[in-house]
Amino acid sequence: MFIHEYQSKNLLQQYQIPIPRSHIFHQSDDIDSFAEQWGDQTWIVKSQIHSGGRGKAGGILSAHDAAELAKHMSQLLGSQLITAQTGAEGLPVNALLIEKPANIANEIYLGILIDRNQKNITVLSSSEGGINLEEIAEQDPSKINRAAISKATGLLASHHQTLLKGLQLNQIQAHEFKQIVSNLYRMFCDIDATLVEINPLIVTEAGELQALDAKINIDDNALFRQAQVSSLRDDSQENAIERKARTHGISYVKLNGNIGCIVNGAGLAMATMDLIKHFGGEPANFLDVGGNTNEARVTHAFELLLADDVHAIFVNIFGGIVRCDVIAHGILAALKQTALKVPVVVLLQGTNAEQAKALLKDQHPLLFPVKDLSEGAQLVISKA
Amino acid sequence: MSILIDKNTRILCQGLTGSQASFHTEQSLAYGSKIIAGVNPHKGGSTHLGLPVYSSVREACREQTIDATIIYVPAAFAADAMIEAIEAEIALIVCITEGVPVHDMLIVSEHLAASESRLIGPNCPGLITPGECKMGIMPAAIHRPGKVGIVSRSGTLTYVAVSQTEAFGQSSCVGIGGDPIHGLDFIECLRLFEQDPQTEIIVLVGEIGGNAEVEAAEVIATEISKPVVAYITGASAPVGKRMGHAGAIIHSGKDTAEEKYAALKRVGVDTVSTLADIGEAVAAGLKSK
Repeated sequence: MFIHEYQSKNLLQQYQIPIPRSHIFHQSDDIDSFAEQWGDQTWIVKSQIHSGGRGKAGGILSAHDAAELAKHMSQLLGSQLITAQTGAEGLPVNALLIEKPANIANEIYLGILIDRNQKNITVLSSSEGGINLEEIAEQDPSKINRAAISKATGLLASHHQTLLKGLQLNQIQAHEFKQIVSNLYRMFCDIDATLVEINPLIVTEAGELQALDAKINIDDNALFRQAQVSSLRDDSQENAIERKARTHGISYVKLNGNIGCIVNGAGLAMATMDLIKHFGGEPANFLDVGGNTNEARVTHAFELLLADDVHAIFVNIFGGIVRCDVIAHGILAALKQTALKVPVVVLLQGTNAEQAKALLKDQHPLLFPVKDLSEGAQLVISKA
Repeated sequence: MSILIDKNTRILCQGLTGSQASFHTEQSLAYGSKIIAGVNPHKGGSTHLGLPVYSSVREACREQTIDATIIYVPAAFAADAMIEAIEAEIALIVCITEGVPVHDMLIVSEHLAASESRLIGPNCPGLITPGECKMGIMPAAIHRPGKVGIVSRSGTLTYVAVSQTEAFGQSSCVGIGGDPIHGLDFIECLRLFEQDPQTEIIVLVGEIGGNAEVEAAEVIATEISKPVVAYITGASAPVGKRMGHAGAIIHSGKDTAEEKYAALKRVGVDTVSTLADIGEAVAAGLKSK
C-alpha cells in the first residue's frame, strides 16, 4: 500500500525525525482565508498524489505572496495531475502540502528496503541525494553505502559507520544522522514497511538535518495488524475498477488494451496476457479470480470488465480444486445479469471441463468455446 | 525415485482441523499420502479425520516419527507455525498459507538458515510425487508418474505445465511459491532433480520480479547436465505494478521477463515464449537426449 508524502512525514515526525514546517490543506478548507493568514512568506505548494515525478509534471510550485499562494492552490487542488508514472488519466489532487522552503547546503539519500534476494533488511545511504537511487547506481555505485541488517540483532554500531561513509557530516550532524537512522529503522519494522525513502535528507545552511521528501510503502499482507497505517489508505488514488475488484477478492490491474481477461491464478493470468500480446493483441487488464475461486467471483469479474468497456473477453480457467462446472455456472449467472454485447472466448481445462462445456453449449450467440490456449488467444484477438 | 517426498514420507499437518486443511487432507489421504497426525494448540488429545491431534509440533514429534509437515494455519500465525516446525527439526516444511507478512518471513528465514530444515512456500500449492505422495492442494488427477521434473513459482501454471507434459509423466512437481521471500528456491530444486535418476528433463516456470531465475541460470551452466525447458510469465506486465503474487513486481530493468530469458538462453536453456509451447519443447528435449 502506498501513502501520501504528508502522511509519510507525519509518521517520520512521530519517530522524532525532523521535517520542514508545513500545513496540510484539504479540499474542504478555504483557500482565501489560508492565503491571507500565511501569504506573507514564501511557501512550496506540493500536490499530494501517489506518484513520483510530481515536480516535472508541474505539481510542485513555489509562491512568494498571498495572491500567488491562492493562485497555485486553486490551480492544483481538485486537478488531475499527469506524471510520467500515472498514465494518461492522471491522479486527482485532493490535498496539498504547503511547506517552508529549505536552505539546502547538502543533500543525502537515505533508504531502507527489504532485499528479497539476500532475505534481509538493507539500509542504504549516499552523499548523492536528490536524484533517485537507480541514477546514483548508474553514475557511481561506490557512492552507495549498504548495511545489511539481521532482524534478530537490529542495527549495530558498525552499520552506522558504514552508512556515514562519504556523507561529510560533522560530529554533531553524524550523531543526529545515527539517531535518524535508528528511528527510521524502528519505524520500518513497527509499521511493516517494505520501502522507506528519505530523498533528500538535507543538511540546511544552519547545519540541521531535515527530511525534505519521504516515501513509504507498506506490506499489504500485514495490514491486518496495522490499524493506524491502514486508515491512511486513500481510495481516490486507486483506479475505480481496481478498488472494486479488491472488495470482491479479485486481483485486477488496468492495462491499455481492449481484450479483457478472466483467469484463475496470478501466474496463469500473466501468461494469458503474454499470449494475447504474443499474437498481436493488447490485453485490457490483469485479472486473477484466485486459484481457489467460486461462482460469485466469476460473475463479479464479468461485471468489472463490462464496466471497463472491453471489446472482447477471454476466460481462461484451469480447473484444479476449483471445478470448471462451478465456473460455467458463474458465467451463466453473469450472462443473466448483464446484457452481453461483446464476444466471450472460453477455455476451460482440468476438473469437470467436459461438464462445463455441456453447460455452456448454445447458451448465448456471443459465447465461443475453444480447445487450447493458442486457439483461444487468436480467436479473441480476431473478435476484438 | 523422486525428489523430497515419496510413498514412505510420514507427514504432520499443522492446522489440520481448519476447513481448507480438512478438505485437502482428505484428498491427500485418498491419494495415498501418509498423513499421520495433526496439530492444533487448543485441540490436543482429540482426533480429526481419524488422525490424532497434538497440541504442539514437539509433542507430535515425541509421539510419532515425522519426516515432513504441511502448514495451513492462517497468515497471522503462519510464521509461528513455521518456526515451531524448524525448532522441532522437521526435515521438510511445506507452507500453503497465502498472505504471510514479509517481515515475518525475514524472521523465519533467519531460523531456517540456522537449521537443517527445508521450507517450501509460503503461498504455494505444495509438491507432489505422482503415484506416491501428494503434499499440497494441486488437483491429483492430472498427474502421472514419469520423467519430467517441474519447478514453478505459480500454482496454476504448474498445473498447466503438468497437463502439457501428460505424455511423459512427472517425477516430482514443486510449487516454490509466489512470495518475495520464501524457502526452497529454483537452484536447490534444480540440484535435486539433477541427482534424481527418474528425472530426465526439467521444466522451470518463472515469473517477473527478483533475480531467482538469473541465479538459476548460473547454476544450470555449471551443475545441471539434464535438459531444461524454461517459461517466464509476465513479459507484458507494466513496471511497478504488483501482478497478483506479492513477489511478481518489476522494480527495475533487471527483473523483467526479457532479462530472465536472456540469462537462461545464454546458458543453453530451451526457453519458450508462450505457455502453449511447453509440451512441444519437452518432447523435443527428450528426443534429442
